[in-house]
Amino acid sequence: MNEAKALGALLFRERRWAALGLIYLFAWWLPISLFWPWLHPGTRKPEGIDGPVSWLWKNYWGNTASLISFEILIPVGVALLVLRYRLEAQAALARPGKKTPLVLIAGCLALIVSHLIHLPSLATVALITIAVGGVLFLWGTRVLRALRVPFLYFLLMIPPPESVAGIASKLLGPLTLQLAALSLKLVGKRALAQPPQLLLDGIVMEAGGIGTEASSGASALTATAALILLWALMRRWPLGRTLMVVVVGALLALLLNVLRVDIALLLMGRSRGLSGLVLQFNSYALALGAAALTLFLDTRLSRVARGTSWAGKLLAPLLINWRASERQADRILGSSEKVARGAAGGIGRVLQVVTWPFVFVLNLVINGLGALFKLNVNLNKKLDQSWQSADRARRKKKEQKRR
Amino acid sequence: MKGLGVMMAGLAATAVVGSLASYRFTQAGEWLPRPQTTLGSWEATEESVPPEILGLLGNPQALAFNYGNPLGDMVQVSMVAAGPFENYHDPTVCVGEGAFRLTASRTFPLDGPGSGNVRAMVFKHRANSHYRIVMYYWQQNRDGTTDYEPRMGNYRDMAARFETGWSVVARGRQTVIMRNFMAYTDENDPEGVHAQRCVHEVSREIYRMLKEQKP
Repeated sequence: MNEAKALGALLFRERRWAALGLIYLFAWWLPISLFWPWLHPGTRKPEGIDGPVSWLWKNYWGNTASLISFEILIPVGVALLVLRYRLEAQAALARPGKKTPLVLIAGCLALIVSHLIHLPSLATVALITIAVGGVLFLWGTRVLRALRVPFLYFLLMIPPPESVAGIASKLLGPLTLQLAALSLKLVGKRALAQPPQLLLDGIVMEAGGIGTEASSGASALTATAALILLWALMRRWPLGRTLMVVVVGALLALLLNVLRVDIALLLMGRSRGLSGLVLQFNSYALALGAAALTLFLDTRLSRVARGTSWAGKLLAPLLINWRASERQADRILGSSEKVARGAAGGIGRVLQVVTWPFVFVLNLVINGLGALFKLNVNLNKKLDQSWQSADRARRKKKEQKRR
Repeated sequence: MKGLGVMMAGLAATAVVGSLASYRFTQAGEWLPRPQTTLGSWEATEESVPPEILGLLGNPQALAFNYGNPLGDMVQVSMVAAGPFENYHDPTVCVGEGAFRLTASRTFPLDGPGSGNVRAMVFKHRANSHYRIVMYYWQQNRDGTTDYEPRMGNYRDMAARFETGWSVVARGRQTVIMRNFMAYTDENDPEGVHAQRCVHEVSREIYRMLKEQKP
């Protein structure tokens, strides 16, 4: 209750955000079409004349199968993160640091250019720059630094080039089909993947977007990653752990999508309608399921591993190794982050993130070897102990005989 | 409060420019003159543009004609009023990445030296390599000038897009996007010379007609 009061007081004291937020939303939306009858009475309302939101909706957000349809929910995540990091921002308000309007001006100019060339990605970059510039101009560098995590998360709203999105869908589509066929073969079905078709006992599955963006699982994968990332940032997890859980969540989303394709194919022989329904199952729901399952596994498995049940005994070494990998990744990322910051600044950091998968694999190998080595040590210790005790027993027997 | 005022003024100015840009883009798509149905020996029959094609192009104003001559040659003409950028679909993407493959492209002045440039392209069918189409593509502005560069969302098209955006918003330019083509087989027309002659003839007449429509 006290926290809510404090938050209310802060929002009231810094009430400039309300006016700013309103006009900022207007810059995103710019609803020209609402005023169309007044601007051009008696003419047909044209399409695509509203602001960046209408361009983004038409190109990406309106299609839930799109790789980046989840971006529409990013502002909610940003708002949650701002609330999470508000105490740091509040503390920074006492010494706001340097204020400059340059970033804001650059953002406005970029937005004007985006209105001339109707490019959604440039408009998004411009609007994020305006938000950063606004904070910098009104509250200064320290507040911006305190809110760096929400703003970094905000960057997920920038649509990637269409070629990148296309490649992801083209790669994931056939992969999903191959995995679906493989999993059906494992349960004794005669399935065959021939992208863009999947065959099962004479039934050919193609309709409903098999092998296309809708069934490739790309949208579920990206949405899962974004959701888990938000969770990790809210919980302030270390970077290594965050990245590892995001990767696992994305893989889980991919597997759930394979399961969806399997179910759709199995249902096809009985009911085409139901099969189509499963295939068109909303990617957001799939992503929600994958993210929830990942986080559940992440938190619950460690509890199981701490227990004494057979499952616990089975999981404990695995999780110990997993946690060790996470710590190792954190340590490497953390230490090299300092080095990168000192040596090459932003570029070094980018390189660090890019090379992270290799570091991750290397860690697994190192930790695996470590675990093996530990196991050998333990075995040797046991053997030593048993030999020593056998020796002691022999000596005792000899002494008893002498007596 | 001064900072807030400055910031709000900046954002409001951006919004005003954005609104003006949207309004001007819509105005740009309002010019679509109807060509004559008889161009020399060519007689036109008007066709309706399929709704799915119109939907793909963002529902602009559009016209489609089949120009036929007494020899039985048929040149298909499509005219799209260029408003927002989604109306600009380039044939290299829309035709060249579907059933056809782009095999040749050349630009030249359509009506002799000093006239507007157009882009001529030859597409070969992917499944049946004997089947081809020759297409002329250009954007004709109301001031008589022409452009032929693509204006899709690729990063390499940004300069052309900016040029169009600036001309539309600052100067109120209006444009018609032209695509004229004829299908042929290399068995009947090995070099495609006859097909190109037909497309050239019809395109030149339409170019002249649009040029006369100057404001």
